[in-house]
Amino acid sequence: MDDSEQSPHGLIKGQCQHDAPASGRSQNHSLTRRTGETGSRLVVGIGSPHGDDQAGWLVASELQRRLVSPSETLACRLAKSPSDLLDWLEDVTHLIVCDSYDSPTELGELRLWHWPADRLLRTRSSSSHQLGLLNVLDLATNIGRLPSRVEIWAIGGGRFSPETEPSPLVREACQRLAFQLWEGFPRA
Amino acid sequence: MTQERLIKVEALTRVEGEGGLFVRLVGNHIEDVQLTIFEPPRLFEALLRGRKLEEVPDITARICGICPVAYQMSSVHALEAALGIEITEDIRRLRRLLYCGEWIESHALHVHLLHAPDFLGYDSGIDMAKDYPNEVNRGLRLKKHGNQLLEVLGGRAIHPINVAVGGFYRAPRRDDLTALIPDFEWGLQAAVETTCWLATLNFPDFTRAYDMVSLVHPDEYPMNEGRVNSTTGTSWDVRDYEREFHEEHVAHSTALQSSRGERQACYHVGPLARVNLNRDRLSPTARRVADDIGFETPCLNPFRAIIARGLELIHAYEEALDILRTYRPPTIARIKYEPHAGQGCAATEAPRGLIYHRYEVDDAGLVTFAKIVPPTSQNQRQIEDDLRDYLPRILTDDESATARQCEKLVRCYDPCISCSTHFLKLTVQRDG
Repeated sequence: MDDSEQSPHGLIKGQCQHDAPASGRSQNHSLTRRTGETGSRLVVGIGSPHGDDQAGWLVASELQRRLVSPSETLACRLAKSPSDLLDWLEDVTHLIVCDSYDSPTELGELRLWHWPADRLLRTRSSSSHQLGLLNVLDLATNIGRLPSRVEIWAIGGGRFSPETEPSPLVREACQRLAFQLWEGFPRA
Repeated sequence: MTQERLIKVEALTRVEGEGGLFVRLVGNHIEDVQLTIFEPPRLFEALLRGRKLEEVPDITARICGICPVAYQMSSVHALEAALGIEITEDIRRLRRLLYCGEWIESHALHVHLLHAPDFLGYDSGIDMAKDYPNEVNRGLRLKKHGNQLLEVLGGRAIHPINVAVGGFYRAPRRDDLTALIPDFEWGLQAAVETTCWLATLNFPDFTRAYDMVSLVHPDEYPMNEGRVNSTTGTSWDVRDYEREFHEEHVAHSTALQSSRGERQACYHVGPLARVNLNRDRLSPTARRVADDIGFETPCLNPFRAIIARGLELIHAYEEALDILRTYRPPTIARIKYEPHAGQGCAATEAPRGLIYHRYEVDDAGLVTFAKIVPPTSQNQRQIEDDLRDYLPRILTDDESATARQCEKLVRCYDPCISCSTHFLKLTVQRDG
């Protein structure tokens, strides 16, 4: 496997097959507006301040901006580490995770997996104290915290140097994804 | 001709350190054991030279993501020694509270997710969670408490930024700390449950005549200061640390190895050493639980270090609660000082064991010298020595099984080169 195709948080592109074709600028995302749908949604953007690794944060921040008042059915949070998720899952019925993946040839492309995504490659965590996203989802499953519906959105990135700005294409993709997610959420 | 076997562990993978294990046998005789650390040197000591002393706590915190407090607080204490700064009792209590947070998050994670799986037959904490969801949930919740405390007191859970030479940049608000009390009351009971559960695990029958070293303080369980004591009965002032404890470079490791005395003997630092040397200064509940579970000291079985961590988890909760319940924001959060030339050293207790720092600064307040001795480098030679003794008991033709047993022993030290899952890749070269 090419190490370059790995998110800092353990999300692997490589040989992975995404469940739904979500790349491209006019893809059909899986979220559709479902009025009357019950339960609580949580959107988690995983990221860091480093270049395109901000992608997850950008999506969640944009949704937070649109969410002008607190909602009982939708929450958006920014995570520095996938394990932050474990603290936020209570009463969540639908989890949406947004993270970047490292693939300069797919800059700004979006990929979507539905958990459990058996074809996502499990990788060894790079640290005993830092669990990758897939490890965290496995752990959440095993301790009974994971909601029944989990989607993982990955945004292709190409530069992850410390403290750099995200690529314009990644910014665009994040805006697009945030808009699509927002449009897909049921309205009161 | 006697057959030579080489047991090579290619990669011990983790962010905090990268290493492997190399064992050379002739027949069943162990010729050599090397804990090979090949992580590129991070050169923190050189990085600090020429920096303003105010920058040191934030830079040293970056050495470790799981025990940044120990690094930054050791540097702060050493720099305060260099500058002759005396802090107030209020600041000192807040610093101990910060240590409690770090011990809680570090010990809770190691005990529940990294080490317990070894005793219960699982490859990882994630696998163990299927059959022990309550225990793993408990561990995650305890870890979260530690992180919350670091956030309130240190500004953020990882690499706190509120620690300053002379005190804190900002004292926490009383409401922010007292809000933690209900969780910590639950956590204290949960830590007791954890420790009682740990005591029921089956431990290998393996004891050694260890030279265990930790800080000892006459009035309190050691976290942030004390004398350096050994279970052999010797005691040193921290200022004499470098006369007794030496670091050297060995070819198979980019981490310096520590040894003690003229014999260059290995020694053991960490929770087991601390409990052995400070049992009577554990908090009342931790002492009671130690008695109830029949934890005898001195304990010389490294596998039982997991119980020592449990006892320290109880202690950290109990001391934290005491501070949280009586906290009033100090009138002075940071002692003012004027930079001047000087040198100072300090030793504190990281979750993994004793940590030593020494600095020299000039009149402009710039660092001219830095020396940092982390716990893992002190335990490295001890781990190799343990493996030499342990291997004959576990050695079989099944190299993967042998490697797993070695991993378990290495993990007793919670080193920054261990990993909760498979961190040993084993290859065997057979000659002839």
